[in-house]
Parts: sequence; structure tokens; C-alpha cells
Amino acid sequence: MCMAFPGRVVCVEKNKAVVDFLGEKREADCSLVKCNKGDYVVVNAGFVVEIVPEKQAIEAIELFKNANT
Amino acid sequence: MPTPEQVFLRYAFPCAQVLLDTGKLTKEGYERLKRAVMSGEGITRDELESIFRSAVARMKELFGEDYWSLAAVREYFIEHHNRIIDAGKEGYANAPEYFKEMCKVHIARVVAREGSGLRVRYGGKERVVLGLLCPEAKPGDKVSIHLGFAIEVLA
Repeated sequence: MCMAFPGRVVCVEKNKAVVDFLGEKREADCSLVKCNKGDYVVVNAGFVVEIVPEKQAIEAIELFKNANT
Repeated sequence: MPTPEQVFLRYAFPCAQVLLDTGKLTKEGYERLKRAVMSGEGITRDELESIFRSAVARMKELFGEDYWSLAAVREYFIEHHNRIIDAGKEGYANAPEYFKEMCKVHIARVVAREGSGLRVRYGGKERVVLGLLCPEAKPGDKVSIHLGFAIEVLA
């Protein structure tokens, strides 16, 4: 199954967002899809491509944790 | 005229991010796929089959011996891929609705270029997708989209 793994936006400065993926922080370009601190987002090829509703993002993260631990 | 392998890689490449995130693909493997999809640098059928196992398995099931033709590759991604997700196969039964929609291949109209993105419209929604794979796409074009990427301009 190929299901995107979302992260939570920790901070946004101009076009760069820092996104937390289960503790791992990655930078992503948020010039295409504007996001705010606290948003759950999907990052692809270094870009924020989607803002995901919180409840579903949390569900997806749980599924990911269960599948990968 | 692109090869079936090149078209397959365009549709499958957005999933390489997920393979990377879940540890099923190394960083080197990911960078190699990215170079291949951006530059057309050679990637073999064997390499694609070893990385994108479920897609290839499904294509074989659906098309038998002819599974590596342009028509089969496009038909798989544009039609069958979505049905597999909706049918809850491959573990999608548990996936939240929003994520299922994100994984599907959608057909959209280009509204405008926005930097490295394309503003597109489909199913009553308007959103911006990555335009890296479709530098030639222009307003009015029909494009397939997958996991935040515009994949190819369709006739």
C-alpha cells in the first residue's frame, strides 16, 4: 500500500515550512500550498502538496506507526 | 514518443516519496528515480519492477503478457489504480478517505502556471500541483495528477 505519511507544521517562514514527521524535522517549500503552524501536511519532492484534515492525519500517522514498527 | 517505462515512472514517481518515507527505498534509489524522471535518464524495466512491486503485479494480473505496453501502463494508472483503491484492496480499506483521494489519479484542467506549480481544476475543486514533470503544460490543457504532481498532458 502506498499511503502518504503526513507531518505537522512546526513553523513557517516565508516560503519554507519546517514539518515534524514523528520527531524528524524536515524543511519543505510551501510556496505552492500555503500552510500554517499546526497544520498537518503531505510533502512530496520537497514541496508541501496537501493540507490534510487533522482527524484523518492523526489516523494516518497511527496506521503508519503500526505498519512500520 | 515516450517508452512505456518512462510513462510508468512518471505516474509512479510521486509514490517514491512514500517508499522513501517507509524505508522501502534508499535515498540513493530515490535520487536515481528523480534523475530518471526529470531527465529521461535510462531506467530499466527490471529496476522499476523491483521498486514498484504492487503496481507491476496488478498490471500483470490485468493485462497478461502485454503488461509493458504504453496503452496498458496508461490504462492501469488512469482507470484501474483508482478502482483498486476504492475496492479497499492493497490495505486501502483502512486508509482515511482524504488519503485515498490523494493516492488516486485524477484528470484535471490546467487553469494557470504558478511558479513551479500548476493551478488545476477537477471534480469541483481547484488546487495547485507540482508542475515539474509537465513544463510544457499550459492553461486549458488536460493533465493527469497523482499525489500532488501533474503527471502528463493528455490528448
